[in-house]
Amino acid sequence: MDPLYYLYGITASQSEEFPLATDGLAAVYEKVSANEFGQDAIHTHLKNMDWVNEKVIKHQRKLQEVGEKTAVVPLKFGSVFKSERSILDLLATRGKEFKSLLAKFNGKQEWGLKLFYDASRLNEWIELNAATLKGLDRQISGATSGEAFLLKKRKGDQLKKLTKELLNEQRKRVFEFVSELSDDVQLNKETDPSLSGQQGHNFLNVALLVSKEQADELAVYQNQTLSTLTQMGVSLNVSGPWPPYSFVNNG
Amino acid sequence: MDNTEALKEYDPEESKFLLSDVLDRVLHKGVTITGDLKLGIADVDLIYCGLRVLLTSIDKLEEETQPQKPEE
Repeated sequence: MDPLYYLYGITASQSEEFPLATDGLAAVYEKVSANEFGQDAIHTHLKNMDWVNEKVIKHQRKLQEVGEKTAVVPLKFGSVFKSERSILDLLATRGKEFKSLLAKFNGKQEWGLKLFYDASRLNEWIELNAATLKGLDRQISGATSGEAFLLKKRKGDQLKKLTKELLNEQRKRVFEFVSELSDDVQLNKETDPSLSGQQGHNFLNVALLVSKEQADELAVYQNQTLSTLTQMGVSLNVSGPWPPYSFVNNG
Repeated sequence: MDNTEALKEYDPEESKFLLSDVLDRVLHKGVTITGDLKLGIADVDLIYCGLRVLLTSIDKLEEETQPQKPEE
């Protein structure tokens, strides 16, 4: 079987490391076997989680390695070509878009930021700090059983309302900070609660395009907000630097 | 036996990212290529479908292996 060509990303053609190049753009690619990435083979392999994990991690590592040295436009997993010629054709036909992205990514990194909350710890914090809830508690303790039932229901509703308000306030505060800080922000869907596992419920999920200095400011912000957020049962997680996967659509 | 051989090099980079974050980016983000490819757009979409199925099965696996927290 003829080999295939797996394209990881595109970079500017300044280096001898990436000889497949045209008009200022170079391909970060690798020859792969049709037994691995051929049309029939890949559909079989995709059912194998170990295979997917291994290849996805390889894709990430390659782009990470190149990205540490120079700006790179990351491609989606499984961009496989029949020939080196067709990669060159791609560089030519979409050259303008790739160059504009490379200019945007020059000296920049992607960072991920997520906010999580622990429902029971957040509830405890609100119960301890909300005056309205304490007032209701006092009324409940002096009430008849019928009144207490209604007051408890009111307290439950109030707790829900305060929880929602607090989460939205924290979310807005962090989002405004990162929007101010970053060159570009991509708002992503919150992760599935079952995937975030022990971290709690994800209630903000953003990707940021920042310089090295801005990334340092992000780390400072994370440290400064740590104790306040922890008290409420909220955690702020950052990950990076990533190749700029999330910013390829608006070059 | 040389013990330094057995002790594999520790690489902090290895565990820098959560696998779910890597999968999310590498499979869902990045430039989408269409055109003269062995894998056309339909196949690229199929990769996503494949991943959705895979992620769903991971969820199930985690649910089964983790002790359930009682509901409040």
